[in-house]
Amino acid sequence: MKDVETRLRDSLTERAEDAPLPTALATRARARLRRRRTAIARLIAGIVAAVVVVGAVPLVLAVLDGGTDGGTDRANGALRAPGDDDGRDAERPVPERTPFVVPDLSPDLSPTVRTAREQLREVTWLGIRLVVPAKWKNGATTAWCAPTQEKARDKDQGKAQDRAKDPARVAPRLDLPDGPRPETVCTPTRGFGVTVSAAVAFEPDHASRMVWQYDAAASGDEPAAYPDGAWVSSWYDDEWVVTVATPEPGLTSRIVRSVTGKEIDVNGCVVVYDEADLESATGPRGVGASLCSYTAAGLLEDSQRLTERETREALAALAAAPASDGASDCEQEAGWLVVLTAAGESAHRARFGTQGLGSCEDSVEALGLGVGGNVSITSDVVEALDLDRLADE
Amino acid sequence: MPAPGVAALVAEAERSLVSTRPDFDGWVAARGPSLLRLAYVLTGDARKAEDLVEEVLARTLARWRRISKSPDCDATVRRMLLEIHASRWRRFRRRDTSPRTALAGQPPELGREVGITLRDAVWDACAALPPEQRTALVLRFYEDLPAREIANLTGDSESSVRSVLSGGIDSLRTALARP
Repeated sequence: MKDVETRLRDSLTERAEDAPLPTALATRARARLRRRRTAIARLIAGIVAAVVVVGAVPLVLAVLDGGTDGGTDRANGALRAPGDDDGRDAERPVPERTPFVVPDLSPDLSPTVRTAREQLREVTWLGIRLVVPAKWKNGATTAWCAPTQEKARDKDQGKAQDRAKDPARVAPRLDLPDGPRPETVCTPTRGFGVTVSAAVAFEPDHASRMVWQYDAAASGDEPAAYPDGAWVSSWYDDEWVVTVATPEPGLTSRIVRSVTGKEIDVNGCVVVYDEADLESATGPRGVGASLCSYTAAGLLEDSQRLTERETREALAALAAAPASDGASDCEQEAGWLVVLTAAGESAHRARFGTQGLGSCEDSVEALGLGVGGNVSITSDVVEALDLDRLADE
Repeated sequence: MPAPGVAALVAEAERSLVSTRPDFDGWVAARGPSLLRLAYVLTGDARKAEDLVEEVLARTLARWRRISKSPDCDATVRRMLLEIHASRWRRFRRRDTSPRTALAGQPPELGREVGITLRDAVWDACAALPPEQRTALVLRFYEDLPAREIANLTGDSESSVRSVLSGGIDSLRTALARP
């Protein structure tokens, strides 16, 4: 039996192959650098703008920061020598809200041996992200037996009928909640593929990401839920379930391991923030608000649960802050993002960021029940929302 | 035949240097995937890995003229990646309640079902380790660096690194021994 060291080495080497696809790395690096330098230019020009109102119900405050090393890069930017790549031609990649196809891997000249991968497709759905083979098409896994338009035109009806009887002969599908759902009853109920569904009434039989083999006879399902012998696994959280069923355990494992979703930390903060959260969050349970700080990429950097008193003070500070006119493109800037989420009758969220350098520095957006519009960042707001903490970063 | 002047020699050397210096995009295309893999095994999270690599590359780009001249450009960038990663989890650790701390307290998902390999369990157990232990283990067992080089990278003493490595292996062994 292998020792722990050997197993660890094997595991790390194997899992390294699950690393994200190197899509437009240079472009994204340029965009990040450019955003920082834009913020510096605005500081120098003394431009201070207000924050744009984003939503109707939430209380949102946004102030942005230059990132974790703003000082270093600022210095480099200011002293940059001619001939350096300044990244000015780069544009920030548009966030994908719908599935998209990414090309195969970039050339890798590293000494590490890399296994060949087939073309993969990265899919995002309301904060959930996963990777599936690119050849998988969108469609309901429950309608695998239904003829597609192409098949309906197929002159060889016999072949089409054979396909309709054998899920193994039908290409796996990616089944998203907003996809078309033909009223077709298939046996087994689902074919191969990935199904994303709401977690309402979902009662897991296995741990999240556990891979198991479906035995139609032993399951007692009538009709069978999956093709007999399918390797099945589900990733789930409080909102969503992503179920993978393929003929190969390795493929099922690989896909389900690629799933990332909205993890919530102990303070009620979403670990990976998504703008869609602004429209769906209801606030943490309990009386205290959550104060969550995110990087430009939306990764949670810090979180705290405010006491009831601190929550009242934060909300009072926002309510008392004078109105601020104007608009800015804070939304387009990189930097810190801080979300204040409170529950109960005062249920609203506040998002603010403090760039320290950016255009959102001196104003805060406040929207919500009883609070609305743009307000200035007063000393009370700074204290209540712990903004000084970010300035020290 | 007269000997070439110093200025000509310098000019020739500069031309040679420029011609052998990789362009940023080409270098990223070649080395980006391995950086992403390192970032992924360090962070255990695809988005964090992407954010880490994007940050490293942005800093690299700002200094590309100098970095591309260094004799070991790859090592320089990898060192930057490790430094940024370390600074992030150190900053995280200073705070009372961090999501990482919360997540680290969760038991790893151990495979009891068919199809879950022991390597999955090892990966999960490794992900649950404190970041300094995980970083040291990754550098030792993924990057194959000796304790002395890890100490150089992390700024700790060699004995401290050995202690962290030993503690990490013990933690893994304990986690994997759980029923």
